[in-house]
Amino acid sequence: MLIKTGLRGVLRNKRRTLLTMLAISLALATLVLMNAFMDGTNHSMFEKIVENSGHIQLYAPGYYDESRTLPTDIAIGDLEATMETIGGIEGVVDSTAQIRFGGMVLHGGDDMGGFFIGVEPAGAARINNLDEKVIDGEYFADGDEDVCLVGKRMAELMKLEVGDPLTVVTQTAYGALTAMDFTVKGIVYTLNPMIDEGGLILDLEDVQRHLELPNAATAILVVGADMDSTIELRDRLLATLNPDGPPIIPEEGEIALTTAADDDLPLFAGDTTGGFEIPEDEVASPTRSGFEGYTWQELSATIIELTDFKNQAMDIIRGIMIILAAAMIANTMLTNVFERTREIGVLMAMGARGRQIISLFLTEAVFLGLLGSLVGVVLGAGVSLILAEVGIDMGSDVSSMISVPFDTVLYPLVEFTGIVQTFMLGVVMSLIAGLYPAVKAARLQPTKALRYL
Amino acid sequence: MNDKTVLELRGVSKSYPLGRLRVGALNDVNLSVQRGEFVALVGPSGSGKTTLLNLIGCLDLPDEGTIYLAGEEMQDASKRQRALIRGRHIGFIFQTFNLIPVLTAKENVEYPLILGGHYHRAKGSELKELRERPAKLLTELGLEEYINRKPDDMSGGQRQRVAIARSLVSKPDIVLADEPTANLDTKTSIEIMTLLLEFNRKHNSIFLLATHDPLVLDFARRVVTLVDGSVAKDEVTAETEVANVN
Repeated sequence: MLIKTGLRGVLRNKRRTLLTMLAISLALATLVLMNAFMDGTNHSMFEKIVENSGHIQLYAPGYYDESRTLPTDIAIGDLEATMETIGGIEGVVDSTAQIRFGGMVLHGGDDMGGFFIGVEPAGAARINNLDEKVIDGEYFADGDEDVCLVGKRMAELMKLEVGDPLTVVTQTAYGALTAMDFTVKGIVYTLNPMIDEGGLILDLEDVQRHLELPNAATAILVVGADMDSTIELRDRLLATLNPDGPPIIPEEGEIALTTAADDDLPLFAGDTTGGFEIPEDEVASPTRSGFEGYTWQELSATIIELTDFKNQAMDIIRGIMIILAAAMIANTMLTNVFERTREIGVLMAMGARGRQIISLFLTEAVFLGLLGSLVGVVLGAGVSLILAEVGIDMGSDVSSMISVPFDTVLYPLVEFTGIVQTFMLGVVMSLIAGLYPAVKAARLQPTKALRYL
Repeated sequence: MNDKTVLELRGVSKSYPLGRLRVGALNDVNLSVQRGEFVALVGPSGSGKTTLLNLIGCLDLPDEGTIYLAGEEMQDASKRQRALIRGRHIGFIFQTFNLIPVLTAKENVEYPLILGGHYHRAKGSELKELRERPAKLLTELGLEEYINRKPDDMSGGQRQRVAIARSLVSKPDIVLADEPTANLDTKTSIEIMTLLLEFNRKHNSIFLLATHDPLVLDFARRVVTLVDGSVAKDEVTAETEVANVN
């Protein structure tokens, strides 16, 4: 009977109930939409990160600490055999090698600092979907030699078009200055700001040849079964690739010596005497034995931290919205209590105990919350699903603006558990918001309540 | 207090705060009411009739003095115990009916049985009888057709009958009525008073009616007059017929 009275009580003032429910529904709908938007953003961002970096990256020992300088003298050697070993490790779905380096790009009278990646065309197409990112010209093809793909923004800045020649000036793995001529085969738009703003993508074989790194790479991208269980896969990879345990990063004097790969020794290798470079037979080897490995989460730690910070900021906004909706319920329930003070007195006269009065008003609050939350999550999920279908165009510059790989069209991600959690949050919030008015009703003096007009 | 005495007030006083002052509502009231009595409480406005009903109905506690209900002292009862006493032993009838507007007549009558835990305590045939009692009571009061109607669809007289059924449904030892005929026309008032008297005779409950209505006095067996919070006159106007009810 208490529940029945509570439910019917909600319908006493239909307009007020409707307004309160509307407030709850809108708050909950916004929460669901916000969650879907945030989940969609994070999912898109992480997918783009993984698309660019793979699930795990393997380097030669010491590379990661120096990676900001894009060193080519800390490389993985014996690449073919290594790739074969990696391919046989449990959980590895795919892998590809890269050489990353920096230098200058010259075209006509213009020059510009750039970030260059030598990729395996087939591997980059499979893992990085690089072939789909060519917006002008064509992707690498068999038989190509000394062709490159240019980042969209870089092409604009340097007025580069498909077919244009350009020169890359850099150092070989042995420190010698070198200049390489390439022809622009395509313009790419990758959503990776580093490539789009100032990147050149080259064929790994060309880079190996020019940088004197035959059968070597500076990074191996590994893809596992999913983007979550990366630590286990990384540990398995390193256990196999480092059978003698974790490698020790060599000090400067401990780096192994080797004969330069090229027939001509590097121009600046070895000591200098009287202003002239004296070539030596043996120089510091750019390749190192052993591997270090990092998951995409570790490589994108700053972005993940920023995401966490963004999530915390959203939690605060969510909290404010919940408090506003709760205040609306509390206000409605308090008005109910004031309006029904005399009725509460009558109930007390009939023998109602405090607990029963509290139950009566809490039933009303929870019913309001249940209905409002249900309408809210259905509305929020509905709008989210529609937006997930059509997408939200964020504008083409969003990725470069925030310097994070990001799809230009955002698709909100609707997760059932998130909807259920939001619904439960709405109901619990209603219960808490209704508690104060309910307790206030139960604490009324029966005689005062009966005198209330 | 003899065996028949159900209600006894000894030296009961009550005052209420009014700003910084306290205004006396009852002053050293002594009253003893026996089973089956039909008592009218009369007196001018502010004489303390409603305050007296509130104290007897365990809705409030006296500042001084003691109230005994069936020999039990009410002064020391907790809030919860007083609520239980109200639910199980006392029925209220109000001037403005005070029915719950969202409930039907039957549901309104049933409410005290739920609040007082009567359904919880009953089993078998007793429970069956309890469940049937609200409808039966309403039928007895001539409201068979209105059982499933809400108060807003009823006249004042019909609402007061529902309120009476609600006050009697738990077969209380004491029924307290505050101006039960104030909002009714004479014909309906007579009908209502006749019904109350019938129930008084049938169930042997105490009826205490605070009133200004001279018609009520024609039905009362005893008239207690309050003036300025004290009992000014207490006279028996007719012999109480005690029904043979346990």
